[in-house]
Amino acid sequence: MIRIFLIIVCFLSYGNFNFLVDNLIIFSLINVALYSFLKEKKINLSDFIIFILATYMIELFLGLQLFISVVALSIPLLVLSYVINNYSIHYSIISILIFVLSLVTFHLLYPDFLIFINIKDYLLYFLVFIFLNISLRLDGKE
Amino acid sequence: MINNKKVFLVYIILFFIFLTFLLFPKYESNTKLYSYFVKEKVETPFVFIGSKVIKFYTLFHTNNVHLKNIDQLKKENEYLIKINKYLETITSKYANQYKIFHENYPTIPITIGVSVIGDRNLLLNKNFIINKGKKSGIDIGNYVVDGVNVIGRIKSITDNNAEVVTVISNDYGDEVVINNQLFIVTGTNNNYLSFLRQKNTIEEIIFKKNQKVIIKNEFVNLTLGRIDFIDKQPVVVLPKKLDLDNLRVLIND
Repeated sequence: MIRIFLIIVCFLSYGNFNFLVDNLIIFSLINVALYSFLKEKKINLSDFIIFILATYMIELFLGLQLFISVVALSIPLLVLSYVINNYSIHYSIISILIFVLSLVTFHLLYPDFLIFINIKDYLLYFLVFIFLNISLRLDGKE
Repeated sequence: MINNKKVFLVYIILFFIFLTFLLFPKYESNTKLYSYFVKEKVETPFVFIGSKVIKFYTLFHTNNVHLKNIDQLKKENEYLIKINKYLETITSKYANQYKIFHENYPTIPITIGVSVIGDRNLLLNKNFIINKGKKSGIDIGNYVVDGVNVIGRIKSITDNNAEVVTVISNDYGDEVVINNQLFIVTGTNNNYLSFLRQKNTIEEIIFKKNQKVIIKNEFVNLTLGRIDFIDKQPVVVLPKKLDLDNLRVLIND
């Protein structure tokens, strides 16, 4: 529910602020998508729908082909999820992995962006990382 | 690997939707347009509220700035009032000097520059015509001066011209002051004026040569000439030649 709310907020916020916030929104959506797919070995329908929604927003905002991420990335992400979730890895390492994967994806979408932003703007990206860590920990307790 | 049937079903559906969008790009662009349409409609109230909040914040901020400015101006005003009072106290010493310099300043009489337009050589009757008249404020009896000496008086006027009777004319007569005594003099058609009588006195008259003959006016004393003697008779001698090039008419308000 929180992720759906976050997606709606991102959907409404995109384009109404400066480019830094817009990029952070894209980065958050990538995080939400990857987190929804990789958090469990057996993927639920709700997580899959959240993954679809998040990727749909990214494709819509960046002008990519619609649903290409779902079709192209689902199988590799399933393999990755199988690898990650079959080992008893600490949640913080999983969160680092998801964060790095998001950064790589973001870098593929905006090759120059992470180079020219200021050091204080990186703090916002680490804030996303912290939330990711907290959410994985809370999810593990359930 | 997909261990959930529903997820697999959704994946298959999306796969076909993706293929449709790939083969028919119009549907894809329509979907994007509808998505943006929905986004615009949903965000409209938030944008409205946001703009109101920003406007209110801006007003609040500018109000604070104005209040600060008002405070600063009040302080400045108080400071200037104090300075003004201080300066008034200092300058009050000079009030008397101020009166001497500003209030008892001699009044400058009003004069009008005129030029001769007729009978310049005084051939006919020692009178001449000037180019200004009633419209310029000239009146009968006004003195015509050449800067130092009296040349004559206005005899008759029209709207735009006036006739001046010169001091050497037979028709000229005036009241003069010599050594604080009043006399009546008259022109003689010569270069001097003769005395008719002394006014309001029966004392013996004692003149000295080169005594100044003055005509008292409202604001200024005009010089008519100097005392001289012809056959032991006192007369008022005028300059040998009247200067008619730079004349001014003295206006009596």
